[in-house]
Amino acid sequence: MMKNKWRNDFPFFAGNPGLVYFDNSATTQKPQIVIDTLCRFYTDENAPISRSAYTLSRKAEQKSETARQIVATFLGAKKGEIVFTKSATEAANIVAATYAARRLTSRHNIVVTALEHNSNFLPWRQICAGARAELRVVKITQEGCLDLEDLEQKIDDQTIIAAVTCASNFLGSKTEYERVAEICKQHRVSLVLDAAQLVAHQRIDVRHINCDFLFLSGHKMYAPAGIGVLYVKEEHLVEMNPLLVGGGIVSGQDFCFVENSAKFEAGTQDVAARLGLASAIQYLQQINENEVAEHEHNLCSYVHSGFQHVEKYGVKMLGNQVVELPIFSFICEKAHFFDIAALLNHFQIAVRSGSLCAQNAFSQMGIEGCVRISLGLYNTFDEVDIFFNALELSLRKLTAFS
Amino acid sequence: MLKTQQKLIKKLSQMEDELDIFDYFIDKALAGGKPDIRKSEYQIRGCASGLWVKVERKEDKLVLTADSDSLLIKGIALSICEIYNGMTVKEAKATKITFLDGFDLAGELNESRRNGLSQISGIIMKL
Ligand SMILES: Cc1ncc(COP(=O)(O)O)c(C=O)c1O
Repeated sequence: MMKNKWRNDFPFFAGNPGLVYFDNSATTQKPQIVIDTLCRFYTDENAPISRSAYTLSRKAEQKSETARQIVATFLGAKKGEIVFTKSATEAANIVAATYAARRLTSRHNIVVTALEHNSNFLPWRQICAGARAELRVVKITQEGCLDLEDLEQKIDDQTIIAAVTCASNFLGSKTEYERVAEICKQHRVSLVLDAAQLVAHQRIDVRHINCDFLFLSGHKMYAPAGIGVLYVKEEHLVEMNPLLVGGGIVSGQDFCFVENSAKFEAGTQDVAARLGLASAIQYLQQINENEVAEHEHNLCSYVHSGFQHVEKYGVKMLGNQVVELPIFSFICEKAHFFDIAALLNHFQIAVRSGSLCAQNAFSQMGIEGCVRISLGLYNTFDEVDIFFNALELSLRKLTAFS
Repeated sequence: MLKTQQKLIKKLSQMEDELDIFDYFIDKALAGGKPDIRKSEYQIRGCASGLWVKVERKEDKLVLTADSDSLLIKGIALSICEIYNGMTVKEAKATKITFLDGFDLAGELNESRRNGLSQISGIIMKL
């Protein structure tokens, strides 16, 4: 029935038969090799990476640095440009507080987009408020894409940062981030890219794009929670001081910060999660990237046609009709998003509802919330059928009297 | 004679399927009409779905009305209102709303909505 080449790699589905997990933009399930990596580390390898002399600690440190190299290669970066963080959220905050805030004065501005998740909006809003600088929010088009013309107008010589997502967490649309990078370059604006949603579906190369910063969260790309990545272009590393200070980031008696990316990693680090992230990346590299892309593309088309059948209930998809990532959000004129999600839960379908930490976009679209389904490589066409059957039953119930 | 809440608990416990429970609350919400209470003074803050509750006293007895964007929340809120309606403030304060504890709506009701609904009792306690 549920044939999918990769599904069996994820033990979660054997443990949860009957569950349709369509909340992958929030977090993904983990393949066995990631779980094995965590298990192995805590069973046999656990030690702090404290530059100690004993073998186990040195081994843990080596593995952690190998993980850093794997992440660097995955993103097309140098190893020294990779900072391990807790999450995408922490990464954005580091850039805002340690790079941008130092330069920002009241005559400057920061440009963000209405597509941003709050984690790539609130840090900028906060430092702009602190410096009395202007925060400019680029509009989204009717189709739910980034309005590049508006972006070009909003970026000027007083802009110090443009913070832009690579892909929307609720519309499934990609931003033209390569074009954005060119515009930023023309104006000598530092570009911060949020790749949190993109990387589970597509590769990205920081060197090719020529961005200044890029961040992601491991748990959205089949890796454990608690680990994120911040890419910092080499030339910015020296001037940035750490946000968190503590153990492991100074050398000598005069408390000088170490010069590499480790200066952003104060305190005892989550080595297991780093290794788990490296395993997830290796997993994504081992499976056939083109096959996954094709599968997800086909799922997208299938979901798309499914939505046409529920239009009669007043269901309206948000944003671009040409969805690029398997992320879809919808509203129903006659039913509240929470009721739809609650009924879908009854049918064992896990979806997200609400404003999806993207209040900017929602207020621009004039809606309060929606239901989002987001698929991963292990989802199947059968599950899409189950979802639409359940959606139809739910909508019939909820709209029967309207 | 069974009290309103006990009757409700009995009714819900007799339902075989969780969907019937949904139906019950949805029907209740639809029967509740559109009371004119969507005003900021009646709005319950901190509930992720809009929720409005008006508490009045008529001849020492409580009269509560509720409205919500969500049918499920509205149905549950109206059920809470029904339990308090007709009680004196003293009686209402001594009444604990327990009908939600009995069955598993936990998956559907996240923290903020539970919190929103429990604020109805919070209003009573402050009377
Ligand atoms: C586009 C985007 N950026 C950033 C984040 C924040 O990720 P985290 O909560 O793991 O820090 C999310 C999470 O949903 C997201 O969708």
